[in-house]
Amino acid sequence: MPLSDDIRGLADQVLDRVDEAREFYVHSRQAWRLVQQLARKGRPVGIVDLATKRHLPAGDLESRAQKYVTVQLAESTFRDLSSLLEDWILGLIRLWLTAYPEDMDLNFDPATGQRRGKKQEEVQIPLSRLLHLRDCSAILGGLIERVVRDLTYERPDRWFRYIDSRLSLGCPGATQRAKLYEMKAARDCLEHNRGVINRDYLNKAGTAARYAEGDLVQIDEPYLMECFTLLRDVTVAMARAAGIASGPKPRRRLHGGRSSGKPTPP
Amino acid sequence: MRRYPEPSGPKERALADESPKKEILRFLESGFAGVPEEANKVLSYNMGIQSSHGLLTWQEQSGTLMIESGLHSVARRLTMIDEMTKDGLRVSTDGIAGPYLMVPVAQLDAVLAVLDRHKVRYWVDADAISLDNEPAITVINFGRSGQAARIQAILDEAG
Repeated sequence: MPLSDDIRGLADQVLDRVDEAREFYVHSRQAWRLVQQLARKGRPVGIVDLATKRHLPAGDLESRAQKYVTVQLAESTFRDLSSLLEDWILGLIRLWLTAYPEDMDLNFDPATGQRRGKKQEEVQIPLSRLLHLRDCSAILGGLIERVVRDLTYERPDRWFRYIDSRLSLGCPGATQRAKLYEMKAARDCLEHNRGVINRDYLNKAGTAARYAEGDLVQIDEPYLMECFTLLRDVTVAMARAAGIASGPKPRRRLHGGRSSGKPTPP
Repeated sequence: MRRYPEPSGPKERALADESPKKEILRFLESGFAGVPEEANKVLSYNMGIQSSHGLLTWQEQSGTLMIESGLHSVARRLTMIDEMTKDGLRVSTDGIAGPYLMVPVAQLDAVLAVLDRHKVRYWVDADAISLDNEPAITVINFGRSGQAARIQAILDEAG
């Protein structure tokens, strides 16, 4: 399958999951709001624990519904969104490197089979892992997975630098990137610091920071909806640009002589 | 430019196509023509206008703006009272989620205007739920940093 089709397929998958997550959030909130209203009106609706025979009091349900909607539901949806961003960016890098493995080392000159200058890209992979791989493509696959895995632990600005230096997509723009950095920083803060803003968040979020140190992360609905839209827009734009960049054009040859299997002009 | 309807009855006075505040001020100056004498209270919560001559409120609904007078029930529509329960609007709170306010959609704009005037931060659910064909209710969320007592005091004062 051509790389452009793979990229479109990945983008479609991510966009479907974005839409699904959005619908799940909205429908879950609506369901809880309904429960909240029933409880507020004192309607005889209760949840009975069969083991303890205990009824959950209606008044209790009203405040619980508020917490479930604005804290648990919003935050878990937001975390999912952050994972989708990661799946998209790192998935795109994986697809690209699989098609163009020589792009793992930007200092490698395919024409000569030598490296350019003194700089040398390094990918550390355990020898034991390499030894049981049978052929070159399996070894390359292992290297690509290693590169992607290492990037997973990097900040989004590093992801984009990696992409910029290889694909030159021209997107997303600076404003969108800043918002994505903030989004990931807020997610990390929820995940690793109980939502309390610290210096780590401020460093990662940079100019798009929404809080001061010591504040609590608040995933309000307008912000959440903004994140949905942002992720959708960025994915669509990058997929389109990457599809064009991966199209038929003369490419470098792998290891000086062997064809890299990349698309060739018609 | 808004269009305002012609007077439809003795208890309504149509406004010309000018700013609401200007129109209400002119109406006040005119001596409250048509306002029943038994109405002894003026409620003009949105504009902050008060008078002892009669009951006066204004509201904006479905693109029409008109002065309604004389009926206490009409006045109540514009005060910070829950239309459904007829009680004062009650700010609920949850220790973790922060305060929130459940409010009929018909009252939303009026409540938000008060909150905006006091620079209270909030967000509103994107939709409202109607139960048993009753007026749809939405939720104004004040978040974790919301101050329930302050917000309640603001609403009480407005009512």
